[in-house]
Formats: sequence, structure tokens, C-alpha cells
Amino acid sequence: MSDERELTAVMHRAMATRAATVGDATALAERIIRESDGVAVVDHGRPPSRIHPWLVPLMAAALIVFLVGSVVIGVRVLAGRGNQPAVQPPPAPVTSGAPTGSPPPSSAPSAGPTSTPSTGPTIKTVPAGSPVPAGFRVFDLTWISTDTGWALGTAPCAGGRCAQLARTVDGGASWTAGPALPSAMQHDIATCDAGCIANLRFADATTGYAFGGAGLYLTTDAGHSWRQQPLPAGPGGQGTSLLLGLEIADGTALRLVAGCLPGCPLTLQRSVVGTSSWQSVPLPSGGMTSGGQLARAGNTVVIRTSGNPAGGAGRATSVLFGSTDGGARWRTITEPCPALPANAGYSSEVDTTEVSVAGDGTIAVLCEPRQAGTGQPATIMTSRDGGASFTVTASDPGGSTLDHLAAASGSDLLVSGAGLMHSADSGAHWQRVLAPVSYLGFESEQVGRALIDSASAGQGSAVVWTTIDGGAHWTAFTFPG
Amino acid sequence: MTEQTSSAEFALFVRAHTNDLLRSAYLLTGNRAAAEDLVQDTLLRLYPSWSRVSAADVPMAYVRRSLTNNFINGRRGKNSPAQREYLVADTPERATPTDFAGHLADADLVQDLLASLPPRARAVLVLRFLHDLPDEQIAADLDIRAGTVRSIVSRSLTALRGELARRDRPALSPQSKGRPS
Repeated sequence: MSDERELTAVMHRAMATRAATVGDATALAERIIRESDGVAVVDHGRPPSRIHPWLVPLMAAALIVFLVGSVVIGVRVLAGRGNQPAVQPPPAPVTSGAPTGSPPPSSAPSAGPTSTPSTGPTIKTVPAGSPVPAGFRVFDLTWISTDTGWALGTAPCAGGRCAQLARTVDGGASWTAGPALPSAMQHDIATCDAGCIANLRFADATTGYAFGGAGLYLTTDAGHSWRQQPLPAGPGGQGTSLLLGLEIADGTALRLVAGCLPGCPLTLQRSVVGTSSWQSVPLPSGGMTSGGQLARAGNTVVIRTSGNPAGGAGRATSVLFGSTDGGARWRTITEPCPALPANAGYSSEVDTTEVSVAGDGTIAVLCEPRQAGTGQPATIMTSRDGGASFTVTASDPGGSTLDHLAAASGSDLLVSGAGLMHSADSGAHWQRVLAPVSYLGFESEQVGRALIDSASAGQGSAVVWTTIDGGAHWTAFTFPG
Repeated sequence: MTEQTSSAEFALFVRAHTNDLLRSAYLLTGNRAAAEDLVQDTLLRLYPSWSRVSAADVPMAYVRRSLTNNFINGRRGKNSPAQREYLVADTPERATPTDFAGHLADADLVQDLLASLPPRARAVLVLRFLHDLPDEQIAADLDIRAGTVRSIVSRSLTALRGELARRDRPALSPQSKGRPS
């Protein structure tokens, strides 16, 4: 036997032996089959054939003509879209990849359907569990634990950018693509103004909500299919209400809606997570609103709204409602922000412009002068008794324009201004820890996430920042591209 | 092909061939976790176009070619902080000292050899010695010249000889001459 034959035999045997040590792949196979359930299949119609070289430029030219024509069709459809129809009963589930309703706008190409030929640019469906597409930008985050969370963002697709989900099960150390979203939910979040799905909330591993100006969608199978949820009718029974916020805790979902902004009453509705039945919950006063915010941690819930816009939205006063039983019953919280000293040069009114509720029940509010240009700093106040009383922090974080207030706990407070400012001593001292953020949230008293917009504001973030010490220190995960 | 038919055929294929694909992926990546990801990624990327895969002369060859090229093209294994590290050079599980004289020792040695090679060379060896593909087929799958395939194989066998000689394996004659590299 020659040396080479012996070596070849050794190589054969060694590789076979080594390969056999990998073990059984049955579980992997079943997992792959499960993951494939949410992936759209393209009907090629005929088996592959050899492509002769002379066909390539001809096909390229045909493709260009096809794409140009598709964009024209998409623009005409977009221009023709009118007001949203009146609320209808929930339609059939929207399976990822299947078109629904009106043809999508050109910026949101339809997935490859099997029953309806696509007339627009074809979306590139990313199988769940595969790498997050290059160029992914995050707009919202939701966590069911400090390990498991989802990101809603956009990724490049034919024709622009399309909504994309990503998922992590290791606290954000790594991410994989989530199930493809149906075409009705596929928008470039950065450019669709109020008419898109821009928010995501998951209650557990399978049940979640996606919502925004385009409506509210529910999934009960980890995002493989989504069912549009009806919203209350708008003024005069026309159109649908605007969804101002949705928060989940302890098996219940709360949503804050208004028929119109400004000038319509604010409505709070409550539902068992995963169901389509919502019940309205009485609020202490249902006055006209010019905006609202829903903040929740467990059973502690606060609604911030601006009321009394009779004199114009600019004269609206902030109103707070509080609940300590998960939103079943509500009381009015006296506006905590103290007025400025009387001054002939400007209004002394100060409003609560943001609210945050920490896991330990601490309520933090951001107080800002109603009139711009007063030179008076924004301040932060906290309550540890459910809003019965508030204390101003010993010092303010600096700056008259602050946003993205977050209370990780009664001790750890954060707010974004010239940078993300953190205090570990209930506001006595502040330190800059990050650049200004576009998103800030805590899933526990220690673990939280922040997003910083990419080069252009409103374009989403390529980086998810994570803190595990209440906001004092942050580490980055950067999506490729 | 309807979506249901495609889905059913995909499931049949996955159940029948994932074991083999995982073995190839394991030799390519060096660890099970990375191998599973490579197999899953490859199959799920092919799923949307499964009718095309099913219509190929040998669907398994089509899928194996995709898997190998996915590995080579760096869909896995890039040392990027934004992606999972697949530890391509990860030290594989070692045979226990009592197994040293057995086949597992050879397997460890070959795994070390694979780990020392760039992705394309590694793929050549796996296709040649695990799947017994001819040089011309390997060249077509990886879009390289057949001569390059033969060169990679030759150099690898030479390296293997050296490693075996260092261990003083009695199976080889000390006067054996290898092919010139």
C-alpha cells in the first residue's frame, strides 16, 4: 500500500470518526422545520434551467424596466390612499409574507406571495434565526426578562428600507433576525411619519403587540403571524382613534387612546394579554387632551396628559392620573411641578412633560417651564408613595431642554439633554454617561437599554447600549453594516 | 409547486439530511454550536426557494454546496464584535489519554489540521475525504481550479504525514516518500 493511499485512508477514517462525534441532529432538524413556518415561499413555477450568457444582459434590461414600472405603480397607489376606513371586525391573521389590504407603498415592497402575483419590488425575506441583515437600525426595544428581548427596526430592502424584527436570548450579547413581518407592517419607520408600526411590546415568549399610526397588531406565536386589532372609533364614529401608548405587566395590557389630537377625550382600555377584547376604564376626568403618555411598572401606572386646550394647545396644563392596581382604578395626582417665581417677563407655569415609573414603584416626573426661553432649568421630582407627595432632586441635571426621563429605581435616575445624565443618589449629583439618547428603558432596577440615533436624527440606532448597574456604565452591541 | 408541497418536501429533506449536513458543518467549523448555526442558516436561506432546490438533479449536492460556500464566504466565523464568534479555531474536545492509540487520536489530529487551514482549504478536504467528491466536482462547487484542489489535498496529506511521523506511528514506513508539494 502506497504512502499516499495510507494517508488518504487515515484522512477518510479520521474525518468520519470526528464527524460522528457531533451527535444526533434530530432536535436541530425539528427546530429548522419550526423556524421555516414563518418564512414565505416564492413560487418559481418551473425548475431551474441553464442560463446562456447572452441572456444575462437581456434579463438585466428587463429587470430594470420591471423595477421602474413597479415604482411608478407604487407611487400612484400611495397617492391614492385616503383616510383609514371605519373600524372593522378583526380580519384573518396576517401571515408573514402575505400581502394584506391595499397594495403597499413603494417603500414597503410586498413579500413574494403564493396566491397573488407581486406587482412591486420583491422584499427579501430574512428567515427567523438567521443573522440580522446588515444595515439594521433599531427604533424600539421590548424585554420579557433581562435575557430575552426583541428589537423593532428597519433594514435595507429592495426599494428602500423595511421593518425588521431582531431577537436576543442572551441579554443583547448576540441577536438573530426575527420572523418576517407581513407587508402591512413593513414600513420605513424613519420616513412614514405617523402612519407606520413603530413600537413593540412583548408580554412573554410568544405574545406581543406592535403598534403605531398604522394601527395595532397582536401576535401569539412569537411573531410568525400577526392579527390586526380594532381600535375605538374616532370622532363621530369616523375613522379610528389614535393609540398613544400600550404597556404590559402581570398578564394585563393597558392602552391609551384618543379620538383625535388635540381636542378629543382620552380613553384608557384594559385587556388580558393576548386577547382581542378591551374594556374601557373610567378616568377621574375625561377632559379634552392634546397628548398623553402611559408609564407603567408592574401595578404602578401613571398617565400624563395635557388638558384644557380650549385656549390653544400651548396653554394646555398637564394632568396626571395614577393607579396602584394595574390600571383597574384611578385617582388624580396633583400636578407636582412647582410654578416659577412670578416674573413679568415670562409665564411662571411649569408642566410635567414626562413620567417614568421604576420597578420599585418610584415615580419620577420631568418638570419644564411651559414657555420656552425663560432660561429656567428643567427639574426632576420623585415620589415614593404612589404620587401622594413629590420631592425635587437636590440638583438638576442641567439644561432647559431634557427628554427621555427614566427612573431605574428611587436612587438611579437618568435623563437626556446635552448628554445622557445619570444620578446614583436620587438626583443629588449627576454625571454624563452617554451621548443624547433616542430611547431609554429599564427592564429591572439594574438592567436597562439605550439607543442613540445614527448620524441623522430619527434614522434609528445601529447600537444597543446596555447597563447592568442602574445606568452608571454602559456597553455597546453594534449591528453590522 | 404549491407552498404546502414545498413546505412538506422541505421538512422531509431536513429530517433526512440534517445529520449529514451537521457532520460536514462540524468539520468545517470545529464546534457543534457553530455547526448547528451554519446548517440552520443554510437551510432557512434556501427554504424560500425550495422548489428550485427540489428540482435540482441532486438536491443534497445543491444544499451541501450552499453550506460550504456560506462557510467560506464568511457568513459565519467572522471575528466581528457585531456577530457571534464561532471560534473556528476553537480547540475541539480532546480524546482522553486512554484513547490516545485509537482512531480518536487520528480524529483529533485531523481536526487540528483542519483548524489550521483557511476556510477554502478546509472545505476542499471535507468535500474530498468526508464526501468522496472528485476533484473536478469540488472545483466546480467552490469555483476554483481543479489544480488548486489537487494542490490543497497534496499539501494537506504532506502535513498529515509530518504529524503522524512526529507521533511515530508504526502504520507508516519511515522510508516512505510523499508527493512533492
